[in-house]
Order: sequence, then structure tokens, then C-alpha cells
Amino acid sequence: MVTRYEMLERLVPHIGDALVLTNLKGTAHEWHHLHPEDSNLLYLGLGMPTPAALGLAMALPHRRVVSLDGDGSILLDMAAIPTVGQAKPRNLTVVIFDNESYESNGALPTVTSSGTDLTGVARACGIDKACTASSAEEFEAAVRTALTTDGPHFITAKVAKGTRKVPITMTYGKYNKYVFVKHIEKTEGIQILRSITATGKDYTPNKDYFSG
Amino acid sequence: MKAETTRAIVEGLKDAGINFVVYMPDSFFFEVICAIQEDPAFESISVPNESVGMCLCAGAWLGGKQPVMIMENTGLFVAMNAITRFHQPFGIPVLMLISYRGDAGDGWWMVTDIGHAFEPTLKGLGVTYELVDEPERARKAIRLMQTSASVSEELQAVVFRKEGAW
Repeated sequence: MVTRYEMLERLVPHIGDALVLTNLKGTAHEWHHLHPEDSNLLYLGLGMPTPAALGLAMALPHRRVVSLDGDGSILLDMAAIPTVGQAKPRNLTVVIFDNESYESNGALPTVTSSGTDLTGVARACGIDKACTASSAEEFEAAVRTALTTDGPHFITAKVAKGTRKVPITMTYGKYNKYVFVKHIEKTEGIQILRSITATGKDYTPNKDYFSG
Repeated sequence: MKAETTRAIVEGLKDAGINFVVYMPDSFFFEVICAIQEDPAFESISVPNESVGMCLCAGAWLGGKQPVMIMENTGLFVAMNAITRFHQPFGIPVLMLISYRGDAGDGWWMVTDIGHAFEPTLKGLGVTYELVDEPERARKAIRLMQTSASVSEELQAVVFRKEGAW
């Protein structure tokens, strides 16, 4: 069975300038090792990468956004899937690395080990472009399609348990956020960090505050 | 909700520069949500729960939107995992408009305990909030709290009390 790392290697050549949000631990470490770019927001908690990626995709509808999520994570809050199916952002790709376990804390099984089909769930929630990839070749074909055609795309990547031993160079969450946001500001030509305005040359006192 | 109150909240959101509205359908905010859906100043989306909603707001903020999450106070408890594992450790500002179920005068027995736990929970989370009970204050509070959220990169809430002009 293919590993997550082998699939992530297949994603790298196709990722382009896509913004990538990842699940925590193994997925974050492996992706950061393979693609250490400012366009990554790493280490989002269970249930959070996909709805956050949806919000980002809605905010920047011309920019590719990828959620690298896991089965344990998406199962924590499956409500994210129908929300994607409702919004149908053309620029969003959701990848669920499904190793059928909560690997990061001991590998006890998730419900996908007993037959829950996340691709089937996605289709039932209105995400027509949903598929399952069980080999590196299938995965590369799926991400190539997902990153060159309109979505939303949902890819369940069936992977073996196990995390590649890679150097862990994780950063503090707020630092990661600033790097990620500054990258978006630079590449999109927009301002996101308002505190800079409030303390810089454009600062204007808040009349409500000073008037009590 | 009175038309005056609905108008004050919608105008407050516009004053604050809010342009992305995520909501969990709620009886208190029903008229506000309907008004937002019809107003081209806002992009809006409903969510099945408030945790998804808060994450969606976070993503929208990362992409340059000025988001707001509209919900009942019970939703704060649904969203706490996201708040404590995402918004706070990453420093993602989101304005929340929250209706205060279980407040003094709320006649539904099921929300009494939510009322007891709500403000201590906000304080425990370190979420700055302002209680409002009249329309004009609502409009101003929304603007002020959004300014604070943007500058502090923290969560801020405007809480709508049961008693008032609703």
C-alpha cells in the first residue's frame, strides 16, 4: 500500500502557487519537508483544515486552495463536507489522507476502517468531482485534474499507516500565520493585517474611543 | 426583531467594514440574516454548526475578508475546539454576534444553564465582549469591536441581551 509521503511527492510538481492548509503532525511535517514554502499554513487541529480552506477559497476565488486533511480530522466534523457541497467553490481541492486510524496518538482505528466511504459521503453532499485514489499513480492523476479544472474536488487518498522520518522544522502558529498572510498580501496585492495600518503612517485616532 | 434593530445591526456591520457573513440560523437573528442575504454588500453562507462557521471565518480572514460569525450563545460551546486550537493559537480575529439565550427574562427552561455558563466561558476564553440591549448601541458596538478585533488579532463579541428593543 502506498504511503502518504509517496503521494505528497506526487503532489509537489502540480501544486504551483496554490495555498495549502494542512492537518497536524505527520501530514504537516511531511508536506513542509517536501514543499517548505510560505504558501503553507500548517498544523491545523482536527476538523479545521477543510472548513478553513473553504473560507479561504471563497475569499480568493481566483486562487487555487488545497486542504490536506485526514480521516480522523474530517470525521471529527463531517459538517465541513456538506458545507463545501453547498458553496461549491471552483478553486478548492480537498485531499483526505485516509489511513483508517488515529495514527498520531497510537493508531487506533477510525470508522473508515469498518467501511465508511468518505468519497461516497462527499458525492452525497453534492461534490460531484469526488474520487478515491489507492495508488501513487491514481493520486497524481487526480491532483493533476483537480489543480487544472474547476472544482470543488474531493480526493480520498487511501494510504498505509506510517509517517516518514523527516526533520521537524515546525514553527509557532502565529509566526506561520504572519508568513502565510504576508505571502498572500504580496502575491494578491491586498492588505490583510490591519494592525499595521493602525500603528503606521496611516493611523487615524478612533473618534469613538477618544470621545468616550 | 424590530425593524429598527435589524437596521441598526446591518448598518453596524457595514460601518465596521464587514463583508463576509457566516451564520448558524437562529431565531433571534432571523430578520438580520434575511436582510443580509438580500444585501449585495455582504457575501453570506449558512453553516451546519458554529465550529465549521468559525473555521470558515478564519479562512476568509486569511484571504482578506472581514468576517463575522452570527450565532446563538449555545454555539460558542460548539465552537470552542476551533477557538482554542485555531483562532487563539494562530491569532485569527473574528467578530462574533451572539444572542444571549438564558439571559434574565428568557422564558425557556432549556437555556437557563447556558445562561449561567455563557459569560464565565467568554471570560475564561479571554474573549472581549460587549453586552448591548438597544439598537443604537448595537450599531456602535459592532464598529468598535471590529476595530479591536482587527488591531488585536483576537476574537471579539457583541452580545445581544434578551431585554431591550428586540
